[in-house]
Amino acid sequence: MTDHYLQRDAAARTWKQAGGAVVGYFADDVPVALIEAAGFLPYRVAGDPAGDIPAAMARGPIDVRADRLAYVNSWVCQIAAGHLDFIDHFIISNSRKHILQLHERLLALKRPPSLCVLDRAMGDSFAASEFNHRQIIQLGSRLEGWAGAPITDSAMAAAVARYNRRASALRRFASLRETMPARLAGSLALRTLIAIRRMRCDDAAALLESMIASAATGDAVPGLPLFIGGSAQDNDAIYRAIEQAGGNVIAESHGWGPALIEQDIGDGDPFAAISAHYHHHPDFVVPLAESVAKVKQRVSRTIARRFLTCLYSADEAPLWEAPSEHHALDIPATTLADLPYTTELPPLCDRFATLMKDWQV
Amino acid sequence: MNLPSISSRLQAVEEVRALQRDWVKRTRQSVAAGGPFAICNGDEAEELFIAMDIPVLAINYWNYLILAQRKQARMNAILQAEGYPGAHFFGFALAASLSPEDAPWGGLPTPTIICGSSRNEMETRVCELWAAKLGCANFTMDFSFPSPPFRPLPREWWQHLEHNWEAMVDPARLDYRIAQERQLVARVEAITGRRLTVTRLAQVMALINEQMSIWTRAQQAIAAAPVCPVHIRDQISIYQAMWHRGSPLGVDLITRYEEEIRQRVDEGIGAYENERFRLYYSVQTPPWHDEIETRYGAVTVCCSYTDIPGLYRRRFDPADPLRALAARHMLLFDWGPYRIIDVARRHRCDAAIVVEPAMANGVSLQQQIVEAAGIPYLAIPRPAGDAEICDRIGAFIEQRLLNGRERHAV
Repeated sequence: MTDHYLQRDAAARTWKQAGGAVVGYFADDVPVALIEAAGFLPYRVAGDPAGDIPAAMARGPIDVRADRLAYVNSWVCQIAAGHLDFIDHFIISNSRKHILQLHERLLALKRPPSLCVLDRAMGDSFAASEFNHRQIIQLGSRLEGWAGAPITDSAMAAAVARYNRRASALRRFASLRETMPARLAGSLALRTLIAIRRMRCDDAAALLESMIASAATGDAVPGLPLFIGGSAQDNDAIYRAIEQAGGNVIAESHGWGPALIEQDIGDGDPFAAISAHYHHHPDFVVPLAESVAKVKQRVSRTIARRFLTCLYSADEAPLWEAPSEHHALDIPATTLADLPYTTELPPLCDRFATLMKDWQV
Repeated sequence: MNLPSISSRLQAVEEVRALQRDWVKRTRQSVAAGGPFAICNGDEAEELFIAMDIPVLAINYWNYLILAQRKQARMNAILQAEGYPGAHFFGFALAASLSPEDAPWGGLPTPTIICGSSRNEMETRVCELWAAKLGCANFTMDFSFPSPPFRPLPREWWQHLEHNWEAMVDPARLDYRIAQERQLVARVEAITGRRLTVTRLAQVMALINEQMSIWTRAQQAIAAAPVCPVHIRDQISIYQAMWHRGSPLGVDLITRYEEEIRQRVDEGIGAYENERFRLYYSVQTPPWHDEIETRYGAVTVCCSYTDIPGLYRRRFDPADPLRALAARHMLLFDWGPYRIIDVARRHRCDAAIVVEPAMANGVSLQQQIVEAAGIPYLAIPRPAGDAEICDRIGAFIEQRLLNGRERHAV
């Protein structure tokens, strides 16, 4: 598993060398089954806290300045520097506003990549579902154009089946962590959750299934069971800091959590089923009450004894959700705000050691 | 050229300032008597409420008022105590509702509805939390201004907005936005019992066009006058007339503003004692203005806000005014160097001072384009009036204006 995580590009580069093409995306409400059905390898881009993250962005055909979020600047920097040169096309989804703004940022690069926008209406009306359905159809057409071939019904059905096999494996994977006793260290689980978004769904399912088989008979993992929310954790630094301080993350609701991708795509016409799947499971859930209820439901099914909201600097969306989440939960909750986007463990370890000491008391 | 100058504020500005305070008081009274009241994200749907005779307040107007009263530290402390660490300009109005004794002008009445948007996740959440706190309805609009357009806008985009707006927004988004505005109207009608008619909305749209045309003429008079007749502070203060757009009151306020400007121009009155250099500023009232005027006679004659009113005008079909309005809610205006050049040239500016973050590889492309048009350009990192900023502006004026060339002939 560690190899998959540390060499996060390996599967994509192998796929590319074998003549395949890769489609990059930035949030889970992008239909990877559709991407696979068109013959591409979906690859979810992550920020790289250990890489270059410029405080100011270079000038391109237009002025595009640095985002307040370091991980967005890391995305752009990796693409501009050619570190993701194995990705043939990008899908810019209207999942979060900083993702949608990548449309302008990437087009402003000296060598802008091939990209398309997957728009989204946030509302829950019929008009919103119509709008979002049309966007999925248009994305399918765009993928067909990139592939130079139509997406067949059989390819769609097979891709949905692969997606659902991964979803099933993810649910079983989650239960290994969330129930007593926890069988997986949180850091390993997070590395797995990141790695599986860079491989085809059947490969991801196979990896998860092998890990489930070995972990089920393995030792229990010690540590105060924690649930983590807040900013998407692009690496396992915080998870490892928590483990060093005597805790273990047993589930998460941040951007790399499995909440959306562990849901099956429904039966029926695959286009309609995919459309419904993503319309009902957006990355950013409106209204807040619904978002909070989802987190509460998730937490309540686990053995978590504490809820921790970790916030990167300037990550305002989860910041404004945290107090409502904390208020709704039946377990103690704490926010650690203004965390640096970094892999530096020592300062994190000190903070978590203090926190864990308070909690253990 | 020696022309008389005047330091007093325009009567029209004093009128609108007093009107706003009174408007809040009267709105509290009408709500206490059972009337409706709406709070709305700026440029989201105000016209729909106005057309239903429902008093409406733009959220950032209230936030700026809190800022002007220097209550930002108190508001941030209130939010932090609620679990929201950091500084949150957009959340000031919510904080004022949590602590009514700290709110400006006696505070706002409880609204019937808060109309927010999905333009930014934080703003969405603030509006949801605010509505939950006050126990009122909440409605979140999609594809609000400034949603990024997926098609390139013309370089002189401001020349196309009034008549060619349909080609400047995404058609699928526009259709959805119209549907959503209809949903909002239906919801407000259900809550308040008020009714919106096409005729009434068309009247509001026509009044907006009339008000903004007068406002544009007023700004043209400011730009063309031998010396600037209106202090930048007053040009910004009159912006409060924007909150009455689409009403006869809004037209009256701006009509009196224009008349007063024309009177000053006819009498050769300047707003500044010592106008030697004319500046464009990219934000609102420059916090460094008085210091720089005193030192160099450099005065701000225009800014990005002063020419916004004209951008509200939209040609519309009287049988379908909602289409033009919804499109305007999606695209009110854009930014960029060519707009700076246009505004600065019309106001005969000697230089542009622009707040912008540092670039990684030299000056911004915007600066290059504006400079290439013959307008000296200073980028400053923040909209502040501290010693560092004043010194930067001073050095720029000494190097580029005092030493470089004489000011433009007027």
